[in-house]
Amino acid sequence: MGTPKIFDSEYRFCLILWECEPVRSTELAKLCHERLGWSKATTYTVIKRLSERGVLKNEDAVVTSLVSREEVQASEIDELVERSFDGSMPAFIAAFTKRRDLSADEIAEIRRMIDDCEVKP
Amino acid sequence: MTAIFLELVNRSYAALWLVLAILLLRLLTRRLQLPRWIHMLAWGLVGLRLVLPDLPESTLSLQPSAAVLETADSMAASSPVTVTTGFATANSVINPAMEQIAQASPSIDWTWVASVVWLIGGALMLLWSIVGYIRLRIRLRDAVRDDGVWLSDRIDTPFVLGRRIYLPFSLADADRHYVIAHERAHIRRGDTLLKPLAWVLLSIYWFNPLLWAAYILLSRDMELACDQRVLRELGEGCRRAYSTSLLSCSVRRQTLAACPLAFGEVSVKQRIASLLHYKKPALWVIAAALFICALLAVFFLTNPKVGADPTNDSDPVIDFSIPNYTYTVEELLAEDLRLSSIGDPSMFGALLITDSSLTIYDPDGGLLFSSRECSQEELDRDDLEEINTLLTAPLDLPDSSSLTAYYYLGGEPDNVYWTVYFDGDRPLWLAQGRTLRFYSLARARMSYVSAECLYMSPASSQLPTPNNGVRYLFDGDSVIFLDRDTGAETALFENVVWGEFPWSQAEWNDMMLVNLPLGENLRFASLNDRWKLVESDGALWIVDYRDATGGSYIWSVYRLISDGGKAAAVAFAQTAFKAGGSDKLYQYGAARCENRGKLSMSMAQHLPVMRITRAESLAGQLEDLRERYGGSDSLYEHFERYDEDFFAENELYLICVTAPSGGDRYEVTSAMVGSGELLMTVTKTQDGDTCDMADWLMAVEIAKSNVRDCGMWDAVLQ
Repeated sequence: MGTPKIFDSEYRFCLILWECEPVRSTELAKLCHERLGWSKATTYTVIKRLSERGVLKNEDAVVTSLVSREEVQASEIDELVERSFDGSMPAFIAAFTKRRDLSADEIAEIRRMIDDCEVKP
Repeated sequence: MTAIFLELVNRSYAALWLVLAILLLRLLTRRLQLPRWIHMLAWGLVGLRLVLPDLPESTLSLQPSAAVLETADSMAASSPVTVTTGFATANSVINPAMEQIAQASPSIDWTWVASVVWLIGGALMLLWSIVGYIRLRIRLRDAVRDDGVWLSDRIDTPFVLGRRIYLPFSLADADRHYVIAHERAHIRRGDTLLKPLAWVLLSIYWFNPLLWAAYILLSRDMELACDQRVLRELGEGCRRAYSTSLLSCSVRRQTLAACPLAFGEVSVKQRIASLLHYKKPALWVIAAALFICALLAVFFLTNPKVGADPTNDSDPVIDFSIPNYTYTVEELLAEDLRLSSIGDPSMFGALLITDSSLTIYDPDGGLLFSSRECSQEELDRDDLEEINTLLTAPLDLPDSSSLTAYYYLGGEPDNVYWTVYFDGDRPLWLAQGRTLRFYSLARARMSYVSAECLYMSPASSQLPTPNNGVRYLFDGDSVIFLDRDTGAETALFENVVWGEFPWSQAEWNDMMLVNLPLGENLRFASLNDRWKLVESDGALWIVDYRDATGGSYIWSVYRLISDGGKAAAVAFAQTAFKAGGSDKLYQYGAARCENRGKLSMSMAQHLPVMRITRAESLAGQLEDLRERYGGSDSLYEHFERYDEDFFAENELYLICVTAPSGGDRYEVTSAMVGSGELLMTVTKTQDGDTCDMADWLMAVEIAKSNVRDCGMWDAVLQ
């Protein structure tokens, strides 16, 4: 079951939603206007579009997300790895680490994450 | 709408030449690498040319023509417009072709069709761009604002729309800086308004292909000017980086759009090339370029001076000047045996013949022919003998061995010509074109009689009546006095010359006891020490001048009118009413008459003449009269017969006279038309012996055709 596709503008919207959810749609519209510059009509249109795609649900004028931030990020990375690194995660990491020198703290954190991965069945 | 379209065609034709000049200049100055804002200035001139309605005329104008399409005002032309491109050869090809088209399809007004096509084309263009704009705005609805710019995932190239800069999400960070700088430059330069404005102008003038080229070049110049401005602001060092950004953003997009102004839109290769070579030009180059722009404005934003149209007809009414030769047609001498119709000498009025021009009037003073050019040909005796063999009767050939035929050519569109055959300097015969129909010519003798007495010295025992008993014949340079009743010649004055009026108004007044106002256009001829002729604003006066030892004075002044015979007397019908017992009617008439100025002017008694030409004005006049004056019903009943049918063919004149005695009877006894004036004479036909004052009203009916050319109306009491 693939994570639904989210475009760049919609991603920014989702950032706001993840921050404030659950949130009344009117409140959400106000926030979008302040931060994104969207009109009310645009916000409602986007809410409708994303609910059809299964990204969020709008019940009784309260909006909650159905997909989490981590899921979206992971999905993005999958697509990137698939597209640019032929599906090879190590290649991706290698490319990534070549670009920047990792600090000692970062290396430690990564090690811990890999350990966590191993633990999972 | 057709008129608007024609005006636009005219303006775009003018703009065409300006655009050509600019293109030429661009080509010539390419090496100079002029800053692009100078190019924009030139395009601004084009905009002005298209928008401004009235431009000044100047002899310096390089425009070939002030208005290429002019509505033809001649009824004879079948094409509704005439083309004046400013180039005679083009005119002579295009105009006849247009005539042919118009004649082939007389029921279709091609200019109207063309203007409809224009309207549809322009509307479609505007509609297309409006629709495009709306669709773009819809797409941009979910663009997010981010640090002064807007990011959208539905666009793939950065651009400016309104005052907002839109960038695609996918724009590389490295490029952002330059892109934003470029788009900001567009906003600051006002390009976001300029380009749509240029597009609107293009939609209006879409039929002019050069303007499309101008629009494309304008867009290009706009982009390059922006690039140059960014370079000036960010410094020369970022030249390469900026070009790289430009390259990476380049997209092949449609170049013909009103908006938006996309970053990578126009001719990227050219822009990069220009950028890499750009350097600030020297001051003198800029100054020279500005000067050339100013010259362009002078040469192309002005219209050529249109000379006075030489084909304007002058006033066709005969004037009173005595030209060198005035002739009349006496009789038809002979004509070609083969002609099927018979010539009619009575169709001719006066002929004014000189050795370079011919003017022919009809008997009523209308213009039959006026010549524009003249050429001559010698005809020897043999030619004339030969002609004689073809005629119904042989012409009396004069003794001289040859005659000269003067061919007087008239103007467009008929190009007819008349021929006058001269024996030396004496015109003998008149013929039309080359038809062999010969009329004999005789020197005209214009006959005048006195119409009213403008002044009579109080020392005179004579009653100032209009008729001074003299008929004046003007025969070439001579003036002959004849007795008006018997026709006997009483005086002859030769070599009469017209010149300037010798006195000022003050001096003139001093010679009389009444102030007789002089007109603006004055001419004067002295017949002898006593008799003088004065022409004042077209009126002809005979002055009896006395130069005595005590000082000079004027004995009498009579106004003369031509008594040409045919047009003199006109038929009329009248009804006369005794209208009451006061002079109220007279006062009423005096306030509303056509000849108000004359009522108090001269010694003769002028009577108020009211002129009515329409049934509605008669009704109004009678209403007014009834209200102020009252009067019997029978008076108003009479006027019911003057309905619309009457006024279709006739005119009605009301003359008022106040009688000192209720028993007097008045009637109009004659109506004469001459020199643009209708003069009616009223006579007391019966003497009453009561002493009550009475108003008389005469209603005079005259056919319109008789008073066609009249501009003055008058009545005098004889």
